[in-house]
Amino acid sequence: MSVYKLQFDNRLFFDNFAITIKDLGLMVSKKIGDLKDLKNHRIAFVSDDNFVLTDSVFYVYKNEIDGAIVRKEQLSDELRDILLNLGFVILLLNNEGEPVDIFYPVVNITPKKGRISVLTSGTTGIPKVIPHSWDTLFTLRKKVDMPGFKWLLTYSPGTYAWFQMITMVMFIPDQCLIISSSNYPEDIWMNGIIHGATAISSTPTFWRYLFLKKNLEDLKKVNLKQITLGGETVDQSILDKLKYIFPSARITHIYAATEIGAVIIVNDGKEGFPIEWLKEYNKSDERPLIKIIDGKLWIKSPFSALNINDWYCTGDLVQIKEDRVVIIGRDSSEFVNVGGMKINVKVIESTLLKHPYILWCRVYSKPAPLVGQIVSADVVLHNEYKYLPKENLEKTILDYLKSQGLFDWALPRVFKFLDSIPLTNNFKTKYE
Amino acid sequence: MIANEKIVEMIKYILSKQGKMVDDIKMESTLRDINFRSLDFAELCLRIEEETGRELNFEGIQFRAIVTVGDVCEFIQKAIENK
Repeated sequence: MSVYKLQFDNRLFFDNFAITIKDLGLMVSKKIGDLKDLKNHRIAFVSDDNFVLTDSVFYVYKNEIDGAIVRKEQLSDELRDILLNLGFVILLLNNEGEPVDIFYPVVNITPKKGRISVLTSGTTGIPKVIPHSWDTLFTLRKKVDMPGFKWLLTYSPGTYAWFQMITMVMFIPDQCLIISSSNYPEDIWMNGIIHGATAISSTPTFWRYLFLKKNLEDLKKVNLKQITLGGETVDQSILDKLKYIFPSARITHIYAATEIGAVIIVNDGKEGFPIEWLKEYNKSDERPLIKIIDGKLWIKSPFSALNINDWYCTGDLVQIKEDRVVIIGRDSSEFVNVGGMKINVKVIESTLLKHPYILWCRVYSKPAPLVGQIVSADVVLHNEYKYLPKENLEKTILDYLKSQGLFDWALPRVFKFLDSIPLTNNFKTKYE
Repeated sequence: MIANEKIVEMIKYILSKQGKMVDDIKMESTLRDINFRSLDFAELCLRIEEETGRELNFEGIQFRAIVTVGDVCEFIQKAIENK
């Protein structure tokens, strides 16, 4: 059990009811209480009901279970095999919290009290299972005096970002969570209006999706005081747009990874982080250390997963732009090789996003004769530019990219203009 | 099959969005004169594949023989037929 004190009076708002921390964990406890043979196992709780999964995590905490929380739609055959090989019993629960199916592990691994396994969001493939503890998950432990907020929960159960929100409402006074049964951003937003959200933590893609579906008036109906962005690269265009819509909100962007925790927290409204932090963070052991080797970001973090004790290469590429370190994205898997010339797709994406017409984009390679690969881009335009003739549009965008210094070979050759943004379960940009 | 006129139209589109002149393009125009490069050719192939729904097959077809717009059209037609 964690040394931190549970905040029994903090509340969680579901679609049509609210419950305090004190009462969470009881439903699942009642429904699976008779399953005595589970005691000597690690347990993965699987359901498609967000309340059941939330109740399960409190049951896990209160009973010091070596556990994991998994959304049913994420439980592919591959993930099921991974969990069984890690010694998990997989417990499928219906929306009443009753076990409807149980899979037993193929190996016997002694459970460890207080170990929590967190699933990566699986943006680029099968999710990984990363061991944490309540201590390493509670990265806000220095923020116990933060003002009280009603947070709109946008993250998928069982992921690192979700645990950040859960540990916050567990251990920090005066925090509430609004949890939706629906997994669509527009429904989550509607719940924020109904329950009077004052804060939100989400990916930039969540916001871009909302910008397409909601007008300015709908967005302003939620009186946000705190906006936190994470899970993806945060660029200046999204920071500026949010500042315009919510002028009185504090806007924070966080660099976090399941393996190393939430390590870089920026509040000045600018993309990237100040270059001085490469030095300043070395002053105290309590804060993560940051360094750059060969253009890649390395972190040594007190919030690292249990199996990481030293410097960790995040795989993210960074660029120094004047006095800022700007994170541009993941390494080699996302390069396009055009006749021997290589470019990271994130460089092209970040340039595209600066164009005023473009709300969202993803860039990828397409196999092509003579040159091996060419650059392709899927693009979603802001609503007000949706009906512009596509022929002129491509030229306008290409001229802009050239003016920003992209070489001819790095320009997207094929554009696909999409009507909506393809999302992953954690509201990140989906790559095929 | 795809009409040669359609291929020429695509060539003009690829060049025009780069700001290149396209008014005088004819079947006998040389690729050098109209500034049509290998990257443009790669894009043209992808667009044709998308248009026809068929993958082009370049096996055994000579690249070196392509000098004019007409050669491009002939080459593409062969690649479409080349199963």
